[in-house]
Amino acid sequence: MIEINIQSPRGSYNFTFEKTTKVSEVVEAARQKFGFEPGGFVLRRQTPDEVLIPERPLVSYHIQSGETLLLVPEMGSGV
Amino acid sequence: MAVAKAVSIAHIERELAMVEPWAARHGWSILWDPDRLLLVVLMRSTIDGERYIFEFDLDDYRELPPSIELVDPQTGGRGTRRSYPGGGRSYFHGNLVICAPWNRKAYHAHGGPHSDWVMSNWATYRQNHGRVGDMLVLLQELINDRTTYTGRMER
Repeated sequence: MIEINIQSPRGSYNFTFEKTTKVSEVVEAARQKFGFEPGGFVLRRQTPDEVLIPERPLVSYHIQSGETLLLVPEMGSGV
Repeated sequence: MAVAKAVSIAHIERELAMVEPWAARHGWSILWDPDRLLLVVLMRSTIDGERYIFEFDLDDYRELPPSIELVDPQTGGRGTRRSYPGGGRSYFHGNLVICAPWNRKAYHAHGGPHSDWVMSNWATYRQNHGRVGDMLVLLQELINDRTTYTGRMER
């Protein structure tokens, strides 16, 4: 198991996941926790600065327990 | 004013509290004046270090969206080309307005280009950008976006 702090525009929360959990599943869990509507999201690591690929499992990023990830709704575009 | 000031203040302070960890992580300077329902946030682009000041006028929030203006951190000039970032996925218009349903100034009735939007529905058009923290995070993302950000609109 791995504990991850996820920060979003709507708060911050400590989640616990299996190491084999896919990034897309992490995004979905966080989306629901923070009360976002379904849509596009990016899960980002700050150091190193990288966007996590939805299909990959957490373990493939060697994320350390206690690390903070950032959940960002898709930017979309101005209209 | 259609929304009681205390109601707007409660919404805003709840939404600001949500984004507090993010603000601390990204080094935002936040000035919140509940008497004037005015929120001023300074943030910096991680690409070129430029500082941008976003001023949110929040009277009648959440019935109406914020009215957002940019302020030049050097001169204090408001709504000038120097105060706006360039690029930004078409959010930062050359006619000096943040063009999104969550900005009152984007609506035709407030001098903006959009007569096709109903302002009372503003929070339903893009629900994941429907809170003050969502908007601020998006603005930070836009000035950090290497694919479209072009620096200050005018130097």
